Amino acid sequence: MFLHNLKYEIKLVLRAKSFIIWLMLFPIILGTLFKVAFGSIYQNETFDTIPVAVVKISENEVFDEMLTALTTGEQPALKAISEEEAKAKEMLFDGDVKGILYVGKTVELSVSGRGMTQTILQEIVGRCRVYETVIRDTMATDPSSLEAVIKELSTEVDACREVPVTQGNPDVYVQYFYNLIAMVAICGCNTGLHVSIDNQANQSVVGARKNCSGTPKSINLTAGLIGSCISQGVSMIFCVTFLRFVLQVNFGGNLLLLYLCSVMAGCLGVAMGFFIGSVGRARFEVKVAIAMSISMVLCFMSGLMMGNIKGILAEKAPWANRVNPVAIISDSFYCLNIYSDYRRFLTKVLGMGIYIVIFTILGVLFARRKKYASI
Amino acid sequence: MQVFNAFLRVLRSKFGSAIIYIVLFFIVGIMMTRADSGTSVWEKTKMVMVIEDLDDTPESRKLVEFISEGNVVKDDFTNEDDITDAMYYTMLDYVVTIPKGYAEKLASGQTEGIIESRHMHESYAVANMGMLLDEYVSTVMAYRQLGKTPLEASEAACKALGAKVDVTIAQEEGKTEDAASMMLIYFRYMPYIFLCVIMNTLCPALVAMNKKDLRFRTDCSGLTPQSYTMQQFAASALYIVALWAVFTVVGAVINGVMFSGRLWLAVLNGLVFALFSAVFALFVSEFSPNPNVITAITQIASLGMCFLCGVFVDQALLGGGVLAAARFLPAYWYVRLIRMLNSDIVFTTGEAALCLGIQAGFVAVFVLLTILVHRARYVSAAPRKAAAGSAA
Repeated sequence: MFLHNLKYEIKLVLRAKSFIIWLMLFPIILGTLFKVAFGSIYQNETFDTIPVAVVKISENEVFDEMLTALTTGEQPALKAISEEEAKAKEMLFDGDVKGILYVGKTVELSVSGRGMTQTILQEIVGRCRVYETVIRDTMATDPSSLEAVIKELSTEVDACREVPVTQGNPDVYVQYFYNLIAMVAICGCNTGLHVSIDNQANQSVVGARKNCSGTPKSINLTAGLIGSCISQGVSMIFCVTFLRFVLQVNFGGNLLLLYLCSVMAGCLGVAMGFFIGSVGRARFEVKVAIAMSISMVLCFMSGLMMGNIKGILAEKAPWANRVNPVAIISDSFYCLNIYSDYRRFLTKVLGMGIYIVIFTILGVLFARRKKYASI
Repeated sequence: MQVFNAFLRVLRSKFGSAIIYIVLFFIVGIMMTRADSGTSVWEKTKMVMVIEDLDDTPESRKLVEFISEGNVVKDDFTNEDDITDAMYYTMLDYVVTIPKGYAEKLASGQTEGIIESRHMHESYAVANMGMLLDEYVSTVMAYRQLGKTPLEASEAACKALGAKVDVTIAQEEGKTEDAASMMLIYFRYMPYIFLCVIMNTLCPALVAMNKKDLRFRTDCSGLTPQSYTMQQFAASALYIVALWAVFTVVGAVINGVMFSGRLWLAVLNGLVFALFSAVFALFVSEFSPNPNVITAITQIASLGMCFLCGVFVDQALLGGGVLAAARFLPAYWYVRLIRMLNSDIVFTTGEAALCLGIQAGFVAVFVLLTILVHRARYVSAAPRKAAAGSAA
């Protein structure tokens, strides 16, 4: 009887349109959108010549020389256009230039917005200031050393040596994909919710029929849960395969462990859904709303929408990252990538295991011995 | 007004699940606002750092002093695991190690790799810190050419590099008040909140209205399809305006902001996007999807659009290709107006009107599409079904 129920449970889940949409199409569409959005972030950081307007208030020979150096060469940093203030402002508002350099005794910068170009412009002006200060100091103390000082300032120095923290992939945007997998896993609560609903006579027709049948509830529930975990596991394998091999996302770490971990995460989603479905006698719609809202809040707290939220929570409420099941799932992928030993990874996997056991036990406790006077 | 009343009655019956979405997504909205510090890529934020001075000489201490200026230096980590953990949780941005022999190398003119650094996540601030350290050593070496000792050169370099650059943001009109910035951050995340809440709460009611029993009874009544659709639109609009007002007023109260000046444009922007979310929900529900499909479409549409259009990731960071594609989505124009109001890009009245106009255009397009689908699926299908029924 158990195997019969298990077979039909798997068939039922696999034939459900919502299952295909949620667990197959969802990672394909969102994964592709993530890849498109984040794939170009680093490309966006390539350097182009920045057009600036120069408004002269008084003569500044040192800056003039530096400006010549910055505006000449194969790929100059700046393209300077000398203008009157009014015209320069007009050009700035029209977007023809990215900033206005007011050249007087010192150089001041005016920009029209807050972006990467403006930041780079600020750094260039800052660097000019340093050159200016060093050259003025040289002129004041030992003008004969000017050539040597300029040569030293222009020499490329590689003083700061970067020591890698990890052998894995340190790309910060990979965490969005970890959270996407975690979200697909936690959305398995839809499948788990159905196991619970389909066993409650007051919630569904199937539930009513199952409750009057001779099959013990324990067999129905066990078959339902195992069947859902198998289907969810398949969808998790599909999700990871698509992200890793089709979108070429570099997860780092051991891929086999990543697959096993994601399957386990899927089971956690099913267990959570089963628990939510078993608690109380609220309508199916309300339970779906609760499951989805909680899932989305947990996903948000894990960094699906804002990558830095986990760090903020670690500072303000460290317990939140430790108890949030979605954060535990995404942390496990991250640990697999970043740390060469499996100590932290195993802690996260253990956390997932504990959640699965707790949700399942509580779900069973709430689901058992329900009596229906009238449905 | 029967359809109008019936629709509101259906909405009331689904109020239990709707309130869950409204409350939880409102919490998400507030958390997003609080989590977003409001510092854009332009502003040089303080880096949280650990400095390990293994050389412990006057020159190395000068370097420590220089790095500490304008950054937050932490010294409460007891082991390497703690440091790695902190970098993982982005509580720590950068670790600088001054190896033994730093002062000697500086004195001998050796600069290659005399400082070591570690970081987990690549960012502009991290790259800038690396360049700053190179620049520091370069400036020290330049001062050494003037016959200064390594310590004197280090002191002079600190002074030269410590000078601040004055940057002003040019404005065509009045600048956004600082108090309003928090509200603008709150408004920036509204597309996600509106899409999620409106789709999840309005769609089930609309799907219920499109159910066979109710629809067939309406079809054989004296009500014209136009009147039916318009009453449905009106009831949806009433619900949406109420929802928008709640989110706007409660958001303003929590963020402690009184609306004034250009901030009203952000309020209007929110209303137009809320209307778009409503007509999108109307369009989706014309296909009578089941609750799971509605949730899936909601998540794909909201997360996808918000990631592509710069709600979650700053538009300044997104590539040209992505932004070019995003222009075909209303959230792009919504975010663009918010960026204008936040002085991230230049504000012009014409551009602001364009942003609102394009969003309104999307609303009009989806209204037409909804009417079209409604006619194709329900109105024109009815006589054929009736004819097929009588032939049988």
